[in-house]
Amino acid sequence: MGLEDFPSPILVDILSRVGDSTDLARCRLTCRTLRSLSYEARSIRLFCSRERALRSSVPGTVDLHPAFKSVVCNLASLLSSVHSPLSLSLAAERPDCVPAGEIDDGDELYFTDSPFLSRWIPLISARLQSLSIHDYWLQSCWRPSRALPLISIFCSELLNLEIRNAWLSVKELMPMQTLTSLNLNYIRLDDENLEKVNECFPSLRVLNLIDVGGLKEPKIQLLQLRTFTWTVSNFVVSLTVDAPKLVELKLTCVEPKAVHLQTPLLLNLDITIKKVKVIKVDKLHNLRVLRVESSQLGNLSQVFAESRTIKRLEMELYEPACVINTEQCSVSLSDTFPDIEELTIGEKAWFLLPQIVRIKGELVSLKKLVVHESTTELDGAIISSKLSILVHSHVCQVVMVIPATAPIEGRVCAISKCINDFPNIRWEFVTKEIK
Amino acid sequence: MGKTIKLISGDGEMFEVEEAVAFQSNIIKSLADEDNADDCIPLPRVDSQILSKVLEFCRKHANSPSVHTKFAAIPSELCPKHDGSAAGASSSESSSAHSETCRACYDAVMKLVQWDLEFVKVDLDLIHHLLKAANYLDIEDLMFMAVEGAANAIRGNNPEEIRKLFDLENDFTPEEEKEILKEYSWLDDPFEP
Repeated sequence: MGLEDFPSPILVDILSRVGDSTDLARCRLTCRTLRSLSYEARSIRLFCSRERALRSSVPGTVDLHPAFKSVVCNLASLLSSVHSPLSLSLAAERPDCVPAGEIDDGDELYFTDSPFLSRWIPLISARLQSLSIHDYWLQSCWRPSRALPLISIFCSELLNLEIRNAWLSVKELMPMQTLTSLNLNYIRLDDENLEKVNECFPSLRVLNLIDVGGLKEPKIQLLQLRTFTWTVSNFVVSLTVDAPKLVELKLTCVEPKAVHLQTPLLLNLDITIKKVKVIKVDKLHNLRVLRVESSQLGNLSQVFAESRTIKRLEMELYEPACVINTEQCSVSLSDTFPDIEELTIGEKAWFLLPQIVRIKGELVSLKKLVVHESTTELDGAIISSKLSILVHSHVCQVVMVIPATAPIEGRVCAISKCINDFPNIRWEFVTKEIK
Repeated sequence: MGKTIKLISGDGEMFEVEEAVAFQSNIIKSLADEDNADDCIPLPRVDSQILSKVLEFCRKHANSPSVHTKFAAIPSELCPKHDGSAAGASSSESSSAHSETCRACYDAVMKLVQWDLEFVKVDLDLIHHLLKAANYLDIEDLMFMAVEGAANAIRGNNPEEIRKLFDLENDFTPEEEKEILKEYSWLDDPFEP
């Protein structure tokens, strides 16, 4: 089975899929063809485990165990002679657990260190389409890095950028006109209102800001943005999203004072928010799918459902039953969501069902219902009475998610009561692992 | 059965399959679009054993979203194309926000991917033939999975094992070999080649 029978593009495809730098290095040792083609692999991943980093930091072993950072620089110089586009991913193994306040003042795994980046990024910047760096938090958390400005200067053609576990400064950040996808995950960002992000990444279509801290009154203002996932872990004063072409938004926050959404074309909204004082939402004319998890379920539902276009709804309470204010959480399904076709009720909402849902008449379009049962002591009568509130004449499918730890007898009892009481429904019973 | 297509393998065997199955091959599709409505389409470079394997794959994929473009059945504004690059991981995370909308599609694709991975867990000789057939017949999904099968065979193996698997000859001159080993030693951990 001669590999030489294959046209080079297919061999390059295979090597690109292999991706891992160690596997590619071994391919390089096999024969001439694979050696030269390995430099053309479109996608290369370099991964440094903690064990590897420790091995090379033992004094006197530099010749036997080259430091990982030297490996990266050497590889970059070998890759620089080829011109095809390249996606490069650099990752440090994550620490098992991060005890609060602990730091590591070593450097071997500090990948967003700008002296390190400036040694190799310029060598391959002409090829780079996609760059991903997963830094080692214990070494990166205590010092700000100029990685972003450096990348913005050298990689002006970059399409995708991802950085995780770092402290990033935006001083002297230059515009990156071609960047369409930015992913910042577990980052301390020195751009408290995201001004520099808006200014320097104007062409973004996909943005993920997951656990990005250091923000005060962040405002995202991006004309081309289509998809945005935003998880805000600390307390911010306000959150604003101004994105005229945004189609999908997933927002998770705790208790901002204000939220502003100027996203007229939004199709799909997933919002998890405990409480908010002020929420201003430009009318969402196209919203079809809504998931809302909040202690203010009542208010928020009305705000988002103004145009009555929603077809699929998922509702869940933010806090468990004992803490909530049932008045604020009560949703009038028939008034607010008259046209829904599919309804999903989360565990905490299902637990309190009769108190948080009001229905006048029937939900005429409702066809599918998904409910999440959280108690292990299943009571068929209670389940059935809750279902009778929601199962109207057009409902033809119900999915019930049951905890894995519910004893089998109670489960069988509840299931048979459901099937008996609602015989015209197509039933599906799904087991869920308790997290 | 809907409209069917007749295919003739290199060793003269005839296969009759539904259009939806055969048209996964862009080559077959364009050949069928020409005037030979009733004739058979000859595929001289694919023998019957391989063709039947290829058709097995195509039958499974006939009515499913493309594995390569994960959410092909959903309007493009909602589902970004999976780009398979090193930053692919990030694009699939951004599509976790899509999963509520595309859940049915996503689950179907994942099931299909599992089936595909089993399908390509075959001997390398067969993967070799599948790669050639997928290239010749221009079947995107089969190419995608056959490449995965070949890449999987390479992962974790040392150079001698890779040479054995793919029938490669060590064609380096002694000087070249020295140079490469030197390059290798400052590229990665030393490993006995």
